[in-house]
Amino acid sequence: MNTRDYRNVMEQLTPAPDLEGRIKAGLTQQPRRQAHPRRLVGKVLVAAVAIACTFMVAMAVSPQLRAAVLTLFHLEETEQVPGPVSELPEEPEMTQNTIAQQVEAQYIRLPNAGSGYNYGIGTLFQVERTDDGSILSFHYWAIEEHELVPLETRTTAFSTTWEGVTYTDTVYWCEYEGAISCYNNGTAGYALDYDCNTIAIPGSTDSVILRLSQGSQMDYREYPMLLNLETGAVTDLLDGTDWEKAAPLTNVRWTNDLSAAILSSDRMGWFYCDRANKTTTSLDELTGLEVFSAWFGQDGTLILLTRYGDCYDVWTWQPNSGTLKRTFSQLPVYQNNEENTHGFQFFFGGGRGIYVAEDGTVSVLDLATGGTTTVDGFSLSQWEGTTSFIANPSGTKVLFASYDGTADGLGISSLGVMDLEASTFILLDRENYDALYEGSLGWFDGDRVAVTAHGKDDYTETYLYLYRF
Amino acid sequence: MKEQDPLLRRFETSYSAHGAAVYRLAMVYLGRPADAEDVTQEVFLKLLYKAPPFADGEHEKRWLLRVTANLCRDQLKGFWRRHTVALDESCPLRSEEDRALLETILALPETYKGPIHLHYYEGYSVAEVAEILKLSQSAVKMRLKRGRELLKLELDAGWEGSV
Repeated sequence: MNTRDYRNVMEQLTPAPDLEGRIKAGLTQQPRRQAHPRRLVGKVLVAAVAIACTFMVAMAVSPQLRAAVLTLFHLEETEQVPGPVSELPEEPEMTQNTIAQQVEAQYIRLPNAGSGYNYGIGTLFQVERTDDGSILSFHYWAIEEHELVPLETRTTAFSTTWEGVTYTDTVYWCEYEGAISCYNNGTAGYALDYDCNTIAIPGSTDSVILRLSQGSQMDYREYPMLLNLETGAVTDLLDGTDWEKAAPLTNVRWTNDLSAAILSSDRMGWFYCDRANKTTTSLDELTGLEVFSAWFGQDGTLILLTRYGDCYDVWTWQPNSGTLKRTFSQLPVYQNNEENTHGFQFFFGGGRGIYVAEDGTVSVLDLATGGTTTVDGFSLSQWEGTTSFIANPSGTKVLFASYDGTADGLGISSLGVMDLEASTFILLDRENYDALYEGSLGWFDGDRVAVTAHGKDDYTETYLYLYRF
Repeated sequence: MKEQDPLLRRFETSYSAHGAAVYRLAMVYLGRPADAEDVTQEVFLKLLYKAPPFADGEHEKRWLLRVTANLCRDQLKGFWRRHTVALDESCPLRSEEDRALLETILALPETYKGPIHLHYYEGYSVAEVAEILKLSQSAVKMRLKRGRELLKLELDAGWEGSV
């Protein structure tokens, strides 16, 4: 391809002749519910009155929760982020550092680009592959105190069929501190029309969820199976539950005991599947709401989001009693664009949300109880560039990061953790972060923040930096 | 309706000047005409209701392209969007060869699409692409280089924007 070819193809991409008219017509329409991109015209019309969205706690809940305040400790000492080391180690190598007696950093060099870590579980792994992408060997490690400890890697082969496609693969897994870490090759991205992956089940050490998928984009659909790690037996998880009402499934969320699931479909909406009673019912029907998003809180309670115009309401719904309670209302939608830098962000784990007020003050919201925790002396308006918040899986801590837009990778210039139990927010500034290409940020386990990076010149140099605040 | 007339005029003027550019960039990111149209709608509605004052038409165009890139990237973060971006069959193209070329472009990782398109199609310099996409110039250069390698994009003789 040359640039002339590129331009020639682009010249053929022209909007439909009636698009201009449709947008103009949309300017005169009444706003509608905002669950689908086709309704964007209504959405922005409502944006004109979004100023009227006023964040308020709708239900009278624990006053002390709402009054909770985090104390900010912005450390004077900065971290000197270790730069690249050109010589690749044969096995993961770790060095340690303690910053300002507050932050414990573990700097791990990984053997090659086939390494990674299991989100939230606290193990790291290395895959060795042949040229065709198949797996030669697989190793797990845990980090105990100040050293890396190899873990026993086990394998389970399976084969199952769904919608005419036979999925045959091997799961590489280990058990560490009562949790399963698992990895399978799937189609490694080579097949665009089907794939499979495995997902650990909290509290279970004998089985994992096997997610089978087919299609992509609007044609994407998936189905959950249960894979027994000892026998390789695959069991249908939704058989007889009337799940077909929600088909095609595009996402499935489970309670830890797999007794219930939230079935999501881009086409059909949100459904509650009760495996014990073998029923599947639309959440709109069960709650009387127009559900925008749903996920599980603790004890099987559902946390629901409804969206009207540019505002969210948050609800809890108890499947056993049918009790519906609104915990927050009129939360303006957060957009991480320069046009609108305040509002509400919600997370799919931990049952927490973040609310950034127009003056930049930040609150952590407990979506299940309606409790609000503010950060004393901290305002996002003090920060230039992009920032983000991520709750840990249990919702007890929220990490904060600020990014340097001039860096090649993420460029994490400041990193902090809000500890909602200790009522502290420890914030660390970093230097030399641009020496590596930082690629991802997340929780390594419930306690440690993970930054992955690779060498700028050599992508096979892989680094995992962990921080305990 | 009378109150909206100035808005409609503003929309018509801006859409006529920049509608196709917005739509093309959205297509490069998203690959589906319906999705690109949705983004185009949202971009222009943002223009009407949320845009800052512009120094001139070029300033406005850069703002529109930045908002387009942001909206597309937001969409691509969505659940089913994590899967591959493939070309919608409803997209009209003159030949199968052109379709294959567009499929190659759409298969490019998201990171490289904006810099490649803004530089090689819209003709913006590295510094301008960096300003539009809020990236450092070195990041833009790196992404252009890698994107070009992935596309096996050969530069025309005399192309001055190469890095």
